Amino acid sequence: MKDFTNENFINILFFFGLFLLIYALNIFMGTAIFERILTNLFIYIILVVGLQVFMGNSGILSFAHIGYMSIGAYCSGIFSIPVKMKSMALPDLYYFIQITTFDPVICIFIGGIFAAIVAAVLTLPLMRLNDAAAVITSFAVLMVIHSIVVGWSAVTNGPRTFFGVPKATTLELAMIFSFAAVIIAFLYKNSRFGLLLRATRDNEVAAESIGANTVYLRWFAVIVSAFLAGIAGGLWGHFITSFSPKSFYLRETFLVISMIIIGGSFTVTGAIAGALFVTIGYEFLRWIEKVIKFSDAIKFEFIGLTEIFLSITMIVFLVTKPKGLFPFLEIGEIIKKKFFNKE
Amino acid sequence: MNMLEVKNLKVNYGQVVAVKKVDLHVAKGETVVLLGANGAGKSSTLLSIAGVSNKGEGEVDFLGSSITKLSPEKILSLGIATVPENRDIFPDLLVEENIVLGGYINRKNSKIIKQTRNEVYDLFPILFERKNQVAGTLSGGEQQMLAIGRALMSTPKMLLLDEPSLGLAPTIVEKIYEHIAQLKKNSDLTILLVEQHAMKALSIADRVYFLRLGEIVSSGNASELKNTTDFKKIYFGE
Amino acid sequence: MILQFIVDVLSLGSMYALFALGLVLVYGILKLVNFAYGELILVIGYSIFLLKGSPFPWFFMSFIAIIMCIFTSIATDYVAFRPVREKSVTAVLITSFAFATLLQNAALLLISAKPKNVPMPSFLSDSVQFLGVITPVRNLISILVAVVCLFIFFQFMKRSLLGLAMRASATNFNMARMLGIPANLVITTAFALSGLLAGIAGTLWMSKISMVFPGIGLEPLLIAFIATVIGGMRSIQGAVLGGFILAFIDMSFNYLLPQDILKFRDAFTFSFVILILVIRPEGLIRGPATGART
Repeated sequence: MKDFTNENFINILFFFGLFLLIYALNIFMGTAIFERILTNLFIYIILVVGLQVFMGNSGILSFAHIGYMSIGAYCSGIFSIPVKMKSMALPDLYYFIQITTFDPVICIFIGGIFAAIVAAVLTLPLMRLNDAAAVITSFAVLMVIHSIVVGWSAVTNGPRTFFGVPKATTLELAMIFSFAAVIIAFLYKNSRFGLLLRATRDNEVAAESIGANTVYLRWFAVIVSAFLAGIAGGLWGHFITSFSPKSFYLRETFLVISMIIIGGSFTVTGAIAGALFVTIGYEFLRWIEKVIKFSDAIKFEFIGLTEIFLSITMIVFLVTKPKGLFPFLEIGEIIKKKFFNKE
Repeated sequence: MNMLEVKNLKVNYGQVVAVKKVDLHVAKGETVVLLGANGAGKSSTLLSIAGVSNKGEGEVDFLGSSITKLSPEKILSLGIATVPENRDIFPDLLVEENIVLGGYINRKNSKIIKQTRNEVYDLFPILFERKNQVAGTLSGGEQQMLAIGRALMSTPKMLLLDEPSLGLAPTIVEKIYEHIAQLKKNSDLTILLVEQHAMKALSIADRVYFLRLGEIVSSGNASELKNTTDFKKIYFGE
Repeated sequence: MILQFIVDVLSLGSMYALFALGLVLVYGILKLVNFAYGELILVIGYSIFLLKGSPFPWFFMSFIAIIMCIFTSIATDYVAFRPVREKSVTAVLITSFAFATLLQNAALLLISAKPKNVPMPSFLSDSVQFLGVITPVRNLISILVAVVCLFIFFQFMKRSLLGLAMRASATNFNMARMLGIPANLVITTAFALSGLLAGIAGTLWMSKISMVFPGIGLEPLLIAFIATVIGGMRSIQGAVLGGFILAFIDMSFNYLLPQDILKFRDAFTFSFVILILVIRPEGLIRGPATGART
């Protein structure tokens, strides 16, 4: 049941404007590096917004998210690699898949859908768990997906590099998908599912008494969340054109979690803000690492410096602003309050 | 000087104000009862004194010094023991283990521990019978006795009792109050008791405060009030 | 053959059980999941590595390493838990996750990304033969160490006043404090014991793999996690049981799965765990009864 009140209209409008601004910024800056950073940013926005759909509404932290991204990436890649390339890249691939190839955008959707299916099958029994057990098992789901990806060489080329994916992701494509993801997140949040799920987050027993089926509500949220992660994975795979299981593991999990924590998991605005904040910080620190390396000023390999900084920032944020930059209100609500003063 | 002085106490849980303004005092050796209906703010007041609840504002002084900002452990070490509303005994531990834990603060002094332990078992012989039983299997009344006995193990100067009659059958409540009366007789323990069950509480009280919607609305000597029958008015207002 | 299997399961389970116990100790009292727990293995490994070449006997090096482990565990409390304890459950999960990342990257930065060799006395790898069973010495030592540690630990929890205080705190921390039990002492002891158990289990782990690398903490962490979830997160007996059950499942799959499926062993193990959770979401052993919502 969609209910487009004023705030939501402002929300959508705001992000539409923001994204266009970012896009325009790229035209202004004009460098390839900048375009790469922005494309990455849009992809991460999809990823974090997807995580927000589940985490923000259910109140449960999920470590499995990057696992779904990897499924999206591999799945979409398998279907979009041109046939000739496929026999080189994945010699052991099953015949049926070997001869089929689809348009990359379609493949990205396939990736998203497949990720959603895997999430559906794998996590239904886990939706009954609460708190610590739920988080721990989500962590285990990440591990399991990783181990399957590493082991299923015929399809993924195992621990080696998976290459040959056509470079189909442009800044425009990423931006469009990103905007769609934001709309989906808002639609979900305002839907009956989102509302009821949030009710279970606050008081499970009370919510169940008004008809909320916690298990299925969470399950549905995971599916939507995984779908978005899969899409992000597909986009990313078609951007970077070659990757390996290593790209979908703890480092990326840490990154995406830091984004949603710093931004705030309760709001879609928070998710986007977190993605922005961390991406900017991350790129900045990477640039510093590079400068130090090249200037020979300090003879010290600064590997891991970015992660250390990020860890410390996260801890600081959690102590000072535990609910993130946007803890409760979406940007639309904030703007409406400030400028229109409606009560 | 009063043993306990509470001034301007205000307790909130987030946005909800449980206690608006409470002033009360308890003199040494007194038994003071705080009466009020459900939701009046009695437990909040008590837990606040014990150091467990958030105090919004206000001062609590014990034996002349401020205990407002102290931790529950510290407050206990100064001599205030609490028996909370749900008894809060440790259900998986044995009765004896619960009691021993009550004496934690005296752990270095085995003579005192031995002595208080005997006193507690004298006061509540049923606990001695069941001392190797798992505490969770005790009846409600027995658990209440255990909670009180456990609190006494810390040789407190003052005892805070939160609704000792809660959830107990009338005959059991009778017994519990008999024990409390006995306790009063044997020692010079100062007691602050919170209750809904007016009649029983009045039977052992020296002074009474009435709490309604977070504020003290009236107070007086128990002996005078025992003759007043207008509780309904005081509990629920005009 | 059966006997071999039993010895294998017991020796693996011994490590797993000690590990799981350290995790549950902190969770039971504080209701907090310590994501930095696995990194204690990192500390053990690198401590022994850094002490390599020193004139000390091996025992002494392990001893120092375990001390470092305890120290790191207590530090986890101060860095990741105390500042955010009041805030939210999620916050605490993440601060410990961040702290874990910090430790890993510190190792990466200050030592190296490459695996380092951790020297262990060679006699540990010598094989011992009895009743048709062939097994390295270290397996038997693991079982022995675990039995001794578990015995001492449970005695401590049952009989000592501090142990009693800790069990009470795990049930109802506020009430324990109202009895004068100092919260900080209980918490620090929990973390210290957690570090000790992880240190001992970690030393046994080191004797098995003889090397250390920055990501080493992940596997033990997962093991501790899964073992506690199976066994019941609120029960110390459950954690121990969960450790042995997990070892049993792992070993069974090791023995039963054909070679080419073996690399998916973790996936199988986890599916089995999901099955257990479907039947009993609270884990196999229910913990202390509590009126409050966990």
